[in-house]
Amino acid sequence: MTMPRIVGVLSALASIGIAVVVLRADQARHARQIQKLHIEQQQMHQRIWEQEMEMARLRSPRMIRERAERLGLADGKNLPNLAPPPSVDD
Amino acid sequence: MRPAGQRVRMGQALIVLTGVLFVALIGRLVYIQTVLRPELSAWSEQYQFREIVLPGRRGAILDRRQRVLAGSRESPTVYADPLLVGDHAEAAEMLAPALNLTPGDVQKLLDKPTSPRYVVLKRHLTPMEAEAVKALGLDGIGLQNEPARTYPMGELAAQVVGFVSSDGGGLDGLELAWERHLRAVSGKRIVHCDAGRRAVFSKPDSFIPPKNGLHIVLTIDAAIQEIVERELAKQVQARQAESGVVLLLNPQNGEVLAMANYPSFDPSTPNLFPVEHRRNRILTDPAEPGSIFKPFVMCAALAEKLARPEEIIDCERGAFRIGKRILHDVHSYSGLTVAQIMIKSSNIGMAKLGLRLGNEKMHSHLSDFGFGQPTGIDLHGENHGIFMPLRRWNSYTTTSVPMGQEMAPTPLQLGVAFSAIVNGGRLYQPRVVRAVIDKYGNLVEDHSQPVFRGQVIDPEVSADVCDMLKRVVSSEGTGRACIMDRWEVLGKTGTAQVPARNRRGYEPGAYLASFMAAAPASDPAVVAVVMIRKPKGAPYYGGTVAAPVAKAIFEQVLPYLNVPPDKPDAASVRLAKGGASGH
Repeated sequence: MTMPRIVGVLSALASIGIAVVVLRADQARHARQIQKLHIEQQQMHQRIWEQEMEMARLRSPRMIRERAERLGLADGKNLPNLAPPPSVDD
Repeated sequence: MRPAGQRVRMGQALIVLTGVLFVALIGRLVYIQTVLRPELSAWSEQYQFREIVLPGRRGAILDRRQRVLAGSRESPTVYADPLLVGDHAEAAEMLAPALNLTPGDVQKLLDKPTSPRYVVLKRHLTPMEAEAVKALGLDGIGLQNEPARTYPMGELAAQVVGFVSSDGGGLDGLELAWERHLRAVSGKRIVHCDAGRRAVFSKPDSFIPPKNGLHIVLTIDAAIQEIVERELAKQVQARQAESGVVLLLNPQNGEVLAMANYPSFDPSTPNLFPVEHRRNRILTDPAEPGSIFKPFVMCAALAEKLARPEEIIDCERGAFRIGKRILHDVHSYSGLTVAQIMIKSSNIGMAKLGLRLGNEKMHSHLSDFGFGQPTGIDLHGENHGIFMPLRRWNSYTTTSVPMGQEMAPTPLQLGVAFSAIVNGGRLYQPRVVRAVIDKYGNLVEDHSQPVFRGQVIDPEVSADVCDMLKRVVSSEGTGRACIMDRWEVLGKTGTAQVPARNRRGYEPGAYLASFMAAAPASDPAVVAVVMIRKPKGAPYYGGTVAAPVAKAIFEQVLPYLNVPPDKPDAASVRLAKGGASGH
């Protein structure tokens, strides 16, 4: 094997090595990004759940009645008017 | 300089030695790669990989208009990796005040963890506790979120909804009865970790998604439930009674619209309340009903054609001797028609109808109404009630049962049987769950169809008894406290003595005031069973204590359900009169 060939093979091997390292680093960076997105997704889920429960609490007939009474809009007997509309199958 | 032969021998020896070392090295490598491999792999994986549990979300319990009665939110849990926590005693000292635990408890958990690298120190932390733990910044201590059950409407329908254990499994009510549908299955993900135990890569094919629980939709309406609970609480407090229950049913299909028990409890903290508050007494507590039981015996007498509504029966001027026993009426009557016996709630008149029927026929008809059997409601813990088999009925029973004594149905059994009287004789199985849906709202199971259990009386008998019950809620009857302006109501009052505990007989001065009613009388949309236990002071009658509760409930629930009035209301009558006089 001539010297130029040896140099060529070594260069190719070095390039492959560098490419592997670069790709591996890139993969690690993306994996880290995915992990961050997973965590964000979980946090969003958590926020949705919190909001859903808060909405459920605010839809409670007792809450509606109390707020209506505080605002002077209705007494207890007017609750039916404050209720949400019936669902389709009702 | 050494001779050439010696150098050759040394070279050979070196080669041999090197060869031996290589062989030993290869042998060791083979040993490590084969024999020690599983152990070393496990040890290595323990440090390289981490399993992340992905908790599923337990299904919600929704009312008939899909308002959330029970749902899930995430709450922080503090955990520790005991190997990474340096000094356990010191860490416990620092963590204990932040977690409101004793240092001893925390140290015990760190010293004897459930698994070598993971132990939960406390679940469901308050935001303040979570902040305090975060602020400590201790190595090996972490926070993670886990689903926690929450009840956004607080105590509303607490005994129906039930509650869950600290690990999220149903313990009572619908949470227990429908556990199979509500339960979520956790998923998991395995990740490669860096030196700081931070997730870097997901292990291929290691992701198992969590499976959320299904939602259940109830027949109960939160708005109606709130009205019922409020009116019940108001009356129990006003009358300083021991407790009270109200059941609201749709008599046309057996759907439960509301089920209220007072006193109640907060399902988020069930352990802070006594067991009696957590029990759904509508299902679990049989009670001697007293006079509200009379319509069922009346149905039997009319069905057997042993009495006619207009027939006059001698009511013995308030005292009637049968053998050694003397029966009394609250007011003395000489002759009453069969209809008046119901309207005036005469014990003597009913006893005479019981004698005409005899034990066999009476037992058979009452069994048809479902007394002595579970109603089959889709909730746990239903009591069969006390309804003795025919062989144990004697001559006392013949006159006791028509007055609502010597037997004890549950309020649910009474409500279901009364629904059959007012709907033309059709007995339906009561239901609390209407449907099971998935998280996208797709129907998984449909429970909306009525479950018909049989025709227990003829429509003609039903109509005759309903006519009598309408007159009970009129100026001549005992239920006049439930007369409404816009709707005609039918019902029956009852005042029963409360049996003494630990001895025979009744507790002096203790009564169960009850009222069973349906409205509107022309085509009942709602049946109510109201029972107030041990009201203090007089009057303690069902007509004065329980009937006003039913009226207050009907006045709010009937407009809410858009039930048209079946009686010209006072304003219309006044308008009509005014118009007539003007002409």
